[in-house]
Amino acid sequence: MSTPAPGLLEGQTATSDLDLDADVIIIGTGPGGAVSASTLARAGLKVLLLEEGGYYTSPRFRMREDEAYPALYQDGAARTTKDLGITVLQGKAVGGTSVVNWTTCFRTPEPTIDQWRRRWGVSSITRDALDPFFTAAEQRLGVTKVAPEQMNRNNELLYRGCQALGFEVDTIKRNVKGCAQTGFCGLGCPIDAKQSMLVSYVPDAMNLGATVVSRCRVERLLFSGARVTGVEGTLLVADGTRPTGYKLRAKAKHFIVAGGGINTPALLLRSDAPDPNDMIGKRTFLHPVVVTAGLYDEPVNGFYGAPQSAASHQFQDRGAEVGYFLEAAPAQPGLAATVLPGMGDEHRKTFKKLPLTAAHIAITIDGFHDDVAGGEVELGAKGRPILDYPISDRLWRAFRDAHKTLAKVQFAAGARMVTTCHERGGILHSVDDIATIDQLDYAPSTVLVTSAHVMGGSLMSDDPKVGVVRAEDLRHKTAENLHIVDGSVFPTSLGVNPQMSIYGLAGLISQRLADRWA
Amino acid sequence: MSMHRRQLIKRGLAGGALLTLFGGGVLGFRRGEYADVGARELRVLDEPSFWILAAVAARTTPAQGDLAATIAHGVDQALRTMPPQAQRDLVDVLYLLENALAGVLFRGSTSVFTEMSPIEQDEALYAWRDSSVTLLRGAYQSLRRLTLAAYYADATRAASIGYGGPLWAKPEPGKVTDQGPLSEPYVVVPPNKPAPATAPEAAPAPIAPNKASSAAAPAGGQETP
Repeated sequence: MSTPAPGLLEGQTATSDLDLDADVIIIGTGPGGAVSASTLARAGLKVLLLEEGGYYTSPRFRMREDEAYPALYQDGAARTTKDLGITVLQGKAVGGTSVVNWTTCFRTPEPTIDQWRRRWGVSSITRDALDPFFTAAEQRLGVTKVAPEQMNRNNELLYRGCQALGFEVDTIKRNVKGCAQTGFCGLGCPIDAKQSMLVSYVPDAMNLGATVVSRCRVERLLFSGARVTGVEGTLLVADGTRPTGYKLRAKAKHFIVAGGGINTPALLLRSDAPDPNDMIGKRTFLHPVVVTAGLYDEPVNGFYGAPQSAASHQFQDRGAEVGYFLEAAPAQPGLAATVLPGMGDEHRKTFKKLPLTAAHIAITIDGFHDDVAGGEVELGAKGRPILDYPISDRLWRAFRDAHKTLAKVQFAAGARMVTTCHERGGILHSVDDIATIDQLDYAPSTVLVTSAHVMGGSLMSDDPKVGVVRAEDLRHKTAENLHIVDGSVFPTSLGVNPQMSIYGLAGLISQRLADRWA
Repeated sequence: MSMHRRQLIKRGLAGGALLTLFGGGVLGFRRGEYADVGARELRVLDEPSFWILAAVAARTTPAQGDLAATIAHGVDQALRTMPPQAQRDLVDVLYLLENALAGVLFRGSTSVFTEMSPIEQDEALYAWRDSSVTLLRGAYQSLRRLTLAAYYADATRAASIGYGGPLWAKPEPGKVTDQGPLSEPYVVVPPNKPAPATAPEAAPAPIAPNKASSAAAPAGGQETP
């Protein structure tokens, strides 16, 4: 057993098994893990971070989809739910999903925290408690509001369309310093302008003494009674596609799982972690997204320029119906080709107009209605996770409503034609055609539903009979030295893009833990 | 069905004879024109499922002939990053497409996908697209997405639809080997020590956000700052 030196060890380069020890082991180097590591290392604790993804840095961010998707995404960007009905974009790299996200920063909305308090027994996490940690993260990550003249055309069309209809709309805040508006956030920022964990909290933690081992897939937590005694991991080759043959074993006093939605519950399931409330993996949320593509008479070039710079919360709270918010999405062709419906000549005819096409999305807010309770993580072959996410009638209704809204926005902005990315939806030529959306059959794999925000599955609650972890310190209900600090603890989806919520929560909780452990 | 077609299809036999597809007057694969698939090692697919996928790619994407086989190789590469279950499921889906269409009504004389004419192949795919069976619809979408992504994720092919690709050419990083590093070693900078001087990576001037009045990105070229 050795205490590893500070810095980054690329796991594929190990030429023997690794036996390591530390004060704290953190699994995952995304928003939850990186922020926690930085706080705990600053407090003087020896922190070891284990990351399944590879240590890709900006020389490898060459704005090429064929390089980025296999390298930086879960399942090569082809992760889906069990019935194949929802495609899931989630990162896998040192820095986690923050390396490939679209830089949008929102603090956790008060209504969301209210829901957690009222319905899920979360009394120890409040906006007041979180705000200082939001402020700290915003400062560290250069979070600034977009000026309207900075929007690319794709976002501007969303903005103008909403304005024309009297919908609330505003520019958003982004975690960027020196952004050149390339538009390639989703493929890894080519100039390190995006303040992902890779260029912020992960190096901060390493500079304060932490060690990161990349290409290490943690297979299980080892339990002895109510305590975690260690972890076992498999070291993977550089591209992550298979083991090198070497293993990692590590021990610590404290363990923090920060693998994010889907992966954190899967690790707990693989480890046969205690589950007194039978909740591990349940209430996994996706902010399921539906899309419209609108054709304009002018260049839109949605594949260039910051992917997201505007948002509308006009339909955030629809009472008994599921709410949604509106944003734009980047249109790099490898991704856009899969979003537009059709195949062969029919697909080609529409797709060759991509430069004239605006891609707008509605992000539905799951987890606030009893029959929109998210999905459940199960284990598939070789312990890899599968998310079973059934879509209820209420959620299908929300997709339909959101499509109609998005189509109205596109036409208000000047679109000539709009598609809802439904295979039988045809082309809408004016607002008069929007009613045809009501005639369509909405069912899995008839219409594109996608996700870029995976949350939940390790629910936090101060009620001992509810959830997987306590809210006050994100400690497992019964395992005394196990914590989960990532987006999997949220009892509902957030209603806003998740990264800032995780930075704030991880900042708050890791400080509580640092005060306790250091 | 032509004798030609019957003779040419060998599937899943020991030694894995290559499938060859003839479309008569319609575009198809001609074995001699494409380098033996064995020369470019398949990582997830087996040979029969590879050729079925190539036939699918020839219908879903603009690729024909050799390019369709190249797309199938691209999908095979992409499959390496997917979990084992998803890999197995995709191979099963391809065999299902090839062998199990008899239940779907066809005018043609064969229900074997790779033996069908392109029009029949399109109908077979649409039948899955519109099926009342959720998993068949899902299988169609998986095939559609995988092949279209493999086609258009290559920026040189996407140039044909007006995509300018990467905004500038970054230097080729070192080739990735199984146990080699992906990046330069991280240099730890303890607090209160100055960071080592590093030349900042040459960044372009900020690119004006896209407006109707500004020039669109050039099709097929790369803009230099």
